[in-house]
Amino acid sequence: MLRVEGLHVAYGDIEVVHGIDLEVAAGEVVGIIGSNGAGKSSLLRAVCGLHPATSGDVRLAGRSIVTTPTFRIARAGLTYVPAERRLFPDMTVTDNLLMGAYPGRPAPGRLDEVVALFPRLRERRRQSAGTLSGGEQQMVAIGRALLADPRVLVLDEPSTGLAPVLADEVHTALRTLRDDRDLTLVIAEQQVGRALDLVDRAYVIEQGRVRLQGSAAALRDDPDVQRAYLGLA
Amino acid sequence: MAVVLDGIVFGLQLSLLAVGLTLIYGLGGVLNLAHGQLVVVAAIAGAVAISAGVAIPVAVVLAVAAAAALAWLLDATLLRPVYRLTGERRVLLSLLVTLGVAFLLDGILITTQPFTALTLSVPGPAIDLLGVRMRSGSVIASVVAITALAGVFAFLRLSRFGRAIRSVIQDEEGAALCGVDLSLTRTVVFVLSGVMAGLFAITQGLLSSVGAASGFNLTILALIVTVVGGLGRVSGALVAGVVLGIVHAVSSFYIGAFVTFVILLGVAMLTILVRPTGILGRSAR
Repeated sequence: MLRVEGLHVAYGDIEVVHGIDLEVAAGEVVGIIGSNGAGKSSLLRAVCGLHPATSGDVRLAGRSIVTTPTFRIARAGLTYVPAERRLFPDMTVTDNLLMGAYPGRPAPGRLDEVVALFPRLRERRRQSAGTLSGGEQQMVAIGRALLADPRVLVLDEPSTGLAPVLADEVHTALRTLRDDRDLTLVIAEQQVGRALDLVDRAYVIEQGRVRLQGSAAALRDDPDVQRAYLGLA
Repeated sequence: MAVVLDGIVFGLQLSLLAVGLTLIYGLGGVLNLAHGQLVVVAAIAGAVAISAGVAIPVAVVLAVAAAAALAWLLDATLLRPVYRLTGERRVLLSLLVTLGVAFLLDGILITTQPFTALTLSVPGPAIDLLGVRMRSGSVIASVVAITALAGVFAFLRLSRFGRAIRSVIQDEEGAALCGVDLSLTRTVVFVLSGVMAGLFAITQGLLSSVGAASGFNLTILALIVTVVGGLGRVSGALVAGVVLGIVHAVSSFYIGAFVTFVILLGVAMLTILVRPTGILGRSAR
């Protein structure tokens, strides 16, 4: 469904992603894990066209999208939820969610589905998004992405920086999504334990390169991963 | 009372003038210093058409279409490189490019049409409103301005495309991630601002006249309203337009036209000092 081949990304003269390959099959839940500054966000921003790649290719369902503008990539079905969420602060929660379905209208029942997934948003529907807490904003951001009916949903640090209770709520919602809907999901996380709990497979990114890859179970048992990311001896 | 009513009519026109400017700035950080020249182009096009024997309603449509077409042309050509830049450099280049356009249009219009001016005199009786007699031209101008402003407001609030425009103003990257074509929203808003500028020319023609040399004055008025209303805020531009219209009318009546401009600029300066996000005082986004 999504395939990244030899992708290089640079900011000015400084290259931060040095030729990354990865592949996500339809219906798979794939993690991209690594510490802060490993190049995860740079990789994802290049994938969704927010930052140009220096070389390499990105294919969505077989079609190259590496030079496609972001709004066309979004319309083609790759929906990216950045770590900064990028909500519309002066719009209501409902209007933010409806923007997810742009340029169309939301599929019938989709709005209710999102509210069922994040019950907290029900009483916040008419509130402007800028007045929400970080966790609630993350819920709106994920909800907005779901209204796009994405073929591939890419989440960048969905629970980083949230209050623990809300991080748990988001995590539970993602687990529900994984189990109940046949979504293709890519989740970038620096909280490796949390991520491995959720994904089928993951890539470990270090200094702009794929260091390791494998199933969630295999990575959890890997001594290097345990030492570097899980705080185990 | 009559002075205040005149002020409200002029204020509605100012809102018409400022809405486009504030939307364009909000959408992409471009300050269009040739905005007043769009008005003048509409006025001259209308006046030339009328003197060529075109029926007035057709000439009015032609005038508005001329401003809209010029706005579209500007967006499609000279502003393309501007939007490729980001941040301060974009603002700066937009100022230089649109100022260049303004001087160019001023030069062409003033040398080729020095004595042309759009005047649309409406026959008919004056109308009593709240015990004040209003000329029928004023009534029509107010109706045109209110209808156009309500239309823009409804478009932004109620349509999906309008919501997309607001989303770009609030978060450009978020909008792109939702599938909003930034360049298309900018083109539509630029053309819309041209239509509003054209309608300003029509309403001003109904009240007095618009000649070739009024471009820069109008741009400055629009800028003042935009600043007082808060850059990028449509509702702010509506309120600021009416308030400044009343200030303008009262001060020109009791003090004088030259001082009026200074007073209006003073209001704008005071706004920046006291309420940098505009008269409605919320976040500037």
